[in-house]
Amino acid sequence: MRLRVLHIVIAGLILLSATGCWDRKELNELGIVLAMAVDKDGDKGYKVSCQVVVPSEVASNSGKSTTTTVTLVQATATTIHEALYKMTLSSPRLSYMSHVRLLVFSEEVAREGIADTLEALIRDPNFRPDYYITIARGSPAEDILTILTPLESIPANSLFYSLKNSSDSWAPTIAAYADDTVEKMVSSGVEPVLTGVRILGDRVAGGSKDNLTHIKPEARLMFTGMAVLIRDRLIGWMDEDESKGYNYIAGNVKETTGHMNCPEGEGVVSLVLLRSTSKIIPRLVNGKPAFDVKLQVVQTIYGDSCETSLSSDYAIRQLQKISERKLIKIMEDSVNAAQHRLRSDIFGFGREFYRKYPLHWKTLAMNWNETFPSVKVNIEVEAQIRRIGTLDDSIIKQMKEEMPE
Amino acid sequence: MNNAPIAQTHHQEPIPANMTDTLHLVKTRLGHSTDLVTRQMQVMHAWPAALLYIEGMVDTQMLHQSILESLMQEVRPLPEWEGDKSACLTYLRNEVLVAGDMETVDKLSDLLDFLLAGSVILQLDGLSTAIAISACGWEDRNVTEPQSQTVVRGPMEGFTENLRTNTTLVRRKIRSPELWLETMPIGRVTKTNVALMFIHGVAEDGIVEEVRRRLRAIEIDSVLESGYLEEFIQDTAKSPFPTLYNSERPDTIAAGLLEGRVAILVDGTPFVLLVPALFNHFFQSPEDYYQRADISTLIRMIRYLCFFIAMLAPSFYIAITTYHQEMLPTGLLINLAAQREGVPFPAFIEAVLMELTYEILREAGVRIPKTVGQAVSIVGTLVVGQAAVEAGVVSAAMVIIVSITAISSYVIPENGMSIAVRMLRFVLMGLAAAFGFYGILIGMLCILLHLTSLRSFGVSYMSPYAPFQPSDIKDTLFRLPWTHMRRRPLSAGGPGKQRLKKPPKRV
Repeated sequence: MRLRVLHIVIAGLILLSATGCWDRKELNELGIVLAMAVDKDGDKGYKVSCQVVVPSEVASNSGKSTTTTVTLVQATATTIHEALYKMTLSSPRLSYMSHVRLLVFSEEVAREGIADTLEALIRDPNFRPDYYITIARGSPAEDILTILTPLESIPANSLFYSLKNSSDSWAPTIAAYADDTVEKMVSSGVEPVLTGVRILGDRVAGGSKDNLTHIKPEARLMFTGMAVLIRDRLIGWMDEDESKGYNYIAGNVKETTGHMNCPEGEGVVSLVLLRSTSKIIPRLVNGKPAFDVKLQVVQTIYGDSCETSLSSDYAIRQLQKISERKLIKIMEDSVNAAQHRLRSDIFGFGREFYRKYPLHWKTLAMNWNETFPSVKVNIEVEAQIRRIGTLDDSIIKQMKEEMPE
Repeated sequence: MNNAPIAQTHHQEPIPANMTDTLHLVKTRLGHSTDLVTRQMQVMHAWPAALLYIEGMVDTQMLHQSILESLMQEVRPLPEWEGDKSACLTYLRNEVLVAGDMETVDKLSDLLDFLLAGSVILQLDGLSTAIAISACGWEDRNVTEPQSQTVVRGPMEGFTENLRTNTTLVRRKIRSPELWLETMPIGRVTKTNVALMFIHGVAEDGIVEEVRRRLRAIEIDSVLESGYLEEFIQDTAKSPFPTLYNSERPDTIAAGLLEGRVAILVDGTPFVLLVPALFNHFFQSPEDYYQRADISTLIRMIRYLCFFIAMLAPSFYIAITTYHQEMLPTGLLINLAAQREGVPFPAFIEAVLMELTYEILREAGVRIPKTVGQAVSIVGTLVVGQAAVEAGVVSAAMVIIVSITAISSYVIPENGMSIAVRMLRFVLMGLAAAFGFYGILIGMLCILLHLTSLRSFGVSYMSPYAPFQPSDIKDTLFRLPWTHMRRRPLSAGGPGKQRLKKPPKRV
């Protein structure tokens, strides 16, 4: 009995000392990386930049803050991981990658292909593939990480939430998670899109704390445009309206605002979109693929500078018609750009076709990129205006009726 | 064991007929203890007799009014008594002495037993039998509010150190002839009275017999508290979990008896044992049954939650901050990281340090004289809280963890269970420090396996959870209204008789 107890104790001690603690990392030994930028540095390989949080600055209760909330650690190496570990040459803490929220590629890297980078990051269990991927426009990717932001003291968080909120409530951006992007890269019949990010203002001043001392910061970060890829290579950019059209078709629009012209006369009606559902219906016409896109939206009027009345059912229907035409136009432009300018099936038409006609797809799959620009896409919109807000007829209409010029 | 033969001879030794011899013998046996009072007198002005008692053990008023006064009456002895002392003794017993309980003793050892239990011994000269008149009465604490298990609503009386008072407190609540009481002395030297209480027909005979058997098997010189017995009669000593429930509340004990459990009362302590005690019982407070069922259910759930917080909070903190940082939301991670900046110890050392400090403060708080208690508690609070954090020795989050852990452990109504939790906490902290969540999981599995293997007086410790007893779940994590708990719980060991005969009619 006593021997047995001794055995258990010894086994426990061996267990503790042999296998315990092998991956123990204290919180204050970690360099928490929140954003990562990948640039190309000539022949030397990738230049990886990590935005590392300075925790005491972020959660500082002491009042005195002397350094910035984040710091940038950089290294250049042939592969991403070599660069990440090489960073210890200049940083006291090992990079902790679980909380990365944003990955920025430079345009140069994106044009050459991002697959090898993403492959390494997805494979590494220390990364959670729920960070957003963006592409820097008009500057190296590392510069994006050097701009200090107001409100959110951590720039990576600022970018993360800005992208999230804009894609939720202002349609023309896409919050592209790494795993979704990789999935689109590898599957046929759909191509990935990413959002671009741009520095506005003085790029050098943006990295100093002084940037935050102005009401209007000298440098700001802004998401703009959608990067269209074929497989893992950047092909080109879509402007705001085209991006919006893409999001309508892809069913990504949760909420947005738009405007349209008045039924007659000058002025515009501004509309807030409350809900939208879209559906891509593939068809076979004479053995050739064709697609119907059906979009249903529910809108409410938030502004009206028209002279027509809103109080009749007829008027609302008229507005719905105009709204439908406008949405069709936006989406058609987007499809046009994708088909003819960029020649990339970002909407996933091919994938939808495959789901409906798996056998037929086999013949198309090999050269879908060549077929896609010529497929016929028919767009139908059903727009509803459910509410007109707290006013009846427009104030402008009432003014004009009371006091004719 | 060595003095067993001596005890045997003592046991056999008769009382000497000569009263002076008896007095001498008793005095010698008691080592001429000064609280032994011997009084020689002429009973009924006729017969020489000796009166012995221990001062302080005897109710003086009763001694004077009922015993001495009646013995001092002047009654002319009837002629037929001449020479027949035993007839005199019978006369005294039956017609003179005004006292309730009397025993005739003829052995010296019995005489001593009664004497030391607080009886007054009367011996007529020339007779080798004596009368032991029960007149015990000593200074006692009054029935006061129990200190350890307080309630907001419910009876405010608690057990005292007096066994008789305690049995009375229970009997007053259950006025049933089925409430049976057995008493046995335990302890070779102390001869402490231990009472066994159960409701005949509700308690399972097997359990009562088992309790009896285990109590009889106890070989010990002294029993000063029910804790002495607890260690002898518990099912296994190799467990941090208590398998006997103790309470100083008569209502808790009465409720236990009514569920078919057995109470063990020990003279000299207000803490009464209740068996069998299941895991579930330690989360029940008498108040649960006095409040409405809904709030009782909520509070029960909070207690179970607190059981886990008290056991796991520090180990979870250690595991998450040293192994599983990816599980924290980013904001919280940065916040915790900021707190740990400059803390010189690993999280585990930090946690052990703080937990130990807390245990020290707690122990000191219990032992400390009330007059200096406040000063010490202020110093303690400042040391543990403010100063330690400001000095950067520990992080503020750790202080929060230690505090919530400490407070949670007091939510568990019975002290025995919270002690188990406090001890296991350190083991789990060690596992968390070495293996992270994996270690905690292994530790919890071991605890669970251990718990399910435990038994309390033959009843599975984890019932009614495991083995699952659906009808008993009504009074576990939940407390259903009384109208729904029509049967007594089966897992307590009772034969599951009806509590309510019929479903009550709605008015």
